[in-house]
Amino acid sequence: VQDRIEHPWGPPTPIARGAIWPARVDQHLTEGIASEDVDRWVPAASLLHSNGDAMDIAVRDGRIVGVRGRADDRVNRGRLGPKDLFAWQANASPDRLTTPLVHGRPASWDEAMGRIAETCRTLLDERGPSSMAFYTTGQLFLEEYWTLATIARAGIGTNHLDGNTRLCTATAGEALKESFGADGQPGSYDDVVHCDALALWGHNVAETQPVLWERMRDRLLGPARPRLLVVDPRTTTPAREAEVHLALRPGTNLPLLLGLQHLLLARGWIDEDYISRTTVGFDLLEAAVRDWTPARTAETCGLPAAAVEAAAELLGTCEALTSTVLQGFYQAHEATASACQVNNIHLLRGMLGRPGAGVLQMNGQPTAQNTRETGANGDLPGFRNWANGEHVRELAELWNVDIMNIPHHGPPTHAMEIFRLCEEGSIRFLWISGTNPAVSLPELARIRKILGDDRLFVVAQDIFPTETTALADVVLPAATWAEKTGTFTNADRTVHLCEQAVDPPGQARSDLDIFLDFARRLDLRDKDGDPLVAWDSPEEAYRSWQRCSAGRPCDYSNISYEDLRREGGIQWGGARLYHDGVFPFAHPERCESYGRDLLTGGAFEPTEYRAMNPDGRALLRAAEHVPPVEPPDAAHPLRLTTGRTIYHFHTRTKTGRTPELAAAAPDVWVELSPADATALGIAAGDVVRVRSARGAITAPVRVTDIREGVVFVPFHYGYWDTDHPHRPADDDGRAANELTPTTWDPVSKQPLFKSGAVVVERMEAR
Amino acid sequence: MRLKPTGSLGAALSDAHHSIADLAGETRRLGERHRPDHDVHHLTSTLGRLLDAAAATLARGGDRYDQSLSMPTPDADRSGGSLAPAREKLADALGGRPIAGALLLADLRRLLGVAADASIACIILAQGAQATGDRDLLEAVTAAHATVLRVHRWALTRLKTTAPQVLTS
Repeated sequence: VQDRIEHPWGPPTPIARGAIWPARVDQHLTEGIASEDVDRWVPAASLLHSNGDAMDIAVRDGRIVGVRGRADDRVNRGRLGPKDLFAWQANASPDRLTTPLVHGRPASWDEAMGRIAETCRTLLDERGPSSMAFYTTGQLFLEEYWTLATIARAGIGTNHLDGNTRLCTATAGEALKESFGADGQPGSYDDVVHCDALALWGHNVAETQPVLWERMRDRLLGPARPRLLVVDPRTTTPAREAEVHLALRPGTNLPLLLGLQHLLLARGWIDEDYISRTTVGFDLLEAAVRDWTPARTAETCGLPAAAVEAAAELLGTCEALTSTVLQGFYQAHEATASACQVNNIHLLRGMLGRPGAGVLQMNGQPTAQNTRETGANGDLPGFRNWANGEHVRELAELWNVDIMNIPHHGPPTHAMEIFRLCEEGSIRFLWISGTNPAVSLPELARIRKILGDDRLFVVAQDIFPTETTALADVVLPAATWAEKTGTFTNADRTVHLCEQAVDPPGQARSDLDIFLDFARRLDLRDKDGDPLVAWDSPEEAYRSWQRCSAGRPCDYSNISYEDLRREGGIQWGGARLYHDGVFPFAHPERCESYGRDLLTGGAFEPTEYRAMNPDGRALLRAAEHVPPVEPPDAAHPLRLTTGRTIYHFHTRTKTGRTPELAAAAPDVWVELSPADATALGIAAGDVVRVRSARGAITAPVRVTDIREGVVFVPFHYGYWDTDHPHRPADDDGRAANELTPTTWDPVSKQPLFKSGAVVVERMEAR
Repeated sequence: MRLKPTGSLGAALSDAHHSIADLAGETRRLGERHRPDHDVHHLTSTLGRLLDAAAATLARGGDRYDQSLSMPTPDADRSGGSLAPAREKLADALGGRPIAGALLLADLRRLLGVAADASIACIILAQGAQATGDRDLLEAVTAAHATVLRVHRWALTRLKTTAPQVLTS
């Protein structure tokens, strides 16, 4: 058996184009336990990335003793990544939260929930629903988000509900809405098996979705391998395998895409019939790319013109193109505009809705898709359009509340705005569930100040003490994966049921039970006086959601718990969306959004959308490039980009408590190019201070094949495992987000973690 | 050119140019007054640059109409005048108070007024350009107008999201 820390992707199983991906069952059991010692195998899927790898949890004597991949599941065919193989151990970590805390003191559930309910009632009386906000995650289950969305939107009536999915996946959702009228991944993981060209746009898939990379790698190692294009300033594992690797200057994704489209048009590498039959907006796009010649593109992006030409040739001459997009685009300058240009390329070439021809605007977190679907992030539940009165009326009917109880005067408030309203003091109550903003949001000094402000009552619901729970008024201990039942959906729309395998520790409760308790304490009722949240179990919540989703793109009405138990992963919407150039949810009556100006986020009116797209075609979206917000200067000459390692997830609350993973990547580091290291007189292993206009961190240097002028810092590391567990002790921070600027994409409102300027200083040996 | 340019078309050109320059200044001042509101702060600097470019395009056409229109300073990030530091300081001091929202609402409302005025000036000029058959001027003013409308759309979107919070909290 291979060491899966040393060899994270396991042994390859090369395949030819169109072949069936063979199974390879990965398993890890506690030392001393063999398969026959396991009492029960409980079906679940991975909660440590967005791939939704199906697995069985091994249980013995009421404890988790290991995991095994499910060979029959479409997503992973038995494979598991290193985080899945090892991180289940964190469930049994001795420092789990096991009792509620009120101002740091252990309390009963009744006292803690009573305190929360009383604070809410007082605020509702004195300041109204817009003084209350909820900030959730991409790591709970669908049933839990649906319950929270019902409470916040129909019960309390606040517009301030968002998820940390704003940081990871908001641009995916927005780009899909802008191009196709509604959220929903057009492609399927199966496209990887059928394509003859693969393009990874700012997607370090080998580290973020290792099993998806294994699928790609197996094609690359097999006969008739697809040609691979990688756009990334770092020489990542996929970049090393690529025919064309564009290590562009950060902040220039959009110019690159405009330049590539310029070439597709100039060379006639487009499907004119598809374009004229199925799209609107070609003329504006043509005008927008006209001046982006290869020479201008190359100069702006800091690339050789020949490389731009080679990329265009790869994209323009293939017969089945699969694209994936992730944080290198979503968390970078002009995020939505750039992600839309990838959709454009697929529309220009008619590369959608058939095997091998698909776009996956990826997700980062395991259940981010559900946060978006249920209206806990982005738009209204079921990908409904807040600006379409008919859509809101459907929800009012479903919830049986007065339509005026549901805030729909504007788009749901995004997370960065929620924190801004907390900062100015008009939000006084913030309930944070399953996320750690004191490490994951930009400009941490500001975030700590906001969360620490006495005016703001903070509830933090989590499974471990974190940098955020340290700042909370009330802390609620939650159950996690394997300790509760629910469904979630991966980045290619595959739904899995994740069953409870063991009991939660101490007094910890499922997030669903916590929300249900809250709804009862506030006595939320519908307009007939019946309980608004009329369910008690995950399956009842799911049935309610099935009714909400019926007829919308994310239609779960024909996927039951029973089906999921019987069949394993099932895709909503079928294998691929948008066959034959039909875009049913782009129609003005059905679309999730009427669209926005990609430069400013200014919203189009319903009448404008109707005039532009009366028949519901796909939208080719033109965009223009403007310079980034914080370019390097003399004081801060280098560009910062933050990112991930395969061994950790988010702020390491689980992976940092997993011995194998913690040992594989124990502490923060800084990556510099050889040229920058030499210029600064820095050698590998030297400790440096990285400073931006907002803060500083210290870390040892790794000299890597990153683009010159760019500094990489992984964002996972905070303070909980230091001797000053809530914040930096002095000027020597550890969290990458001490450095990042508070700025976000105007359309998706996703914070731009891959932006900002820094200076790197060599520190004297201590 | 079919018709000889007239004095009043020149005046309309000058008027549109000044209106757009005013809008650029007002947009920048909004950004300075609301520096802690990062969205507003960053976007106003981008929009200010676009408006400068729009004004510059019109200014280039000015000579033909005997109008000497001052070109905006090419420096992209020029501030909104000598009071800019004071405005930013005040903004930082107010950023942590609920009054910040009410001030933003009032400032957006004023900006929308200036944008509407600039839009009308562009329409008047475009009509004149159309009537005189000045294709180049028509093209320039149409592009400039699109930028003005873009600022208007952004400000209206922001106003719509700001108003409910200010009025209900």
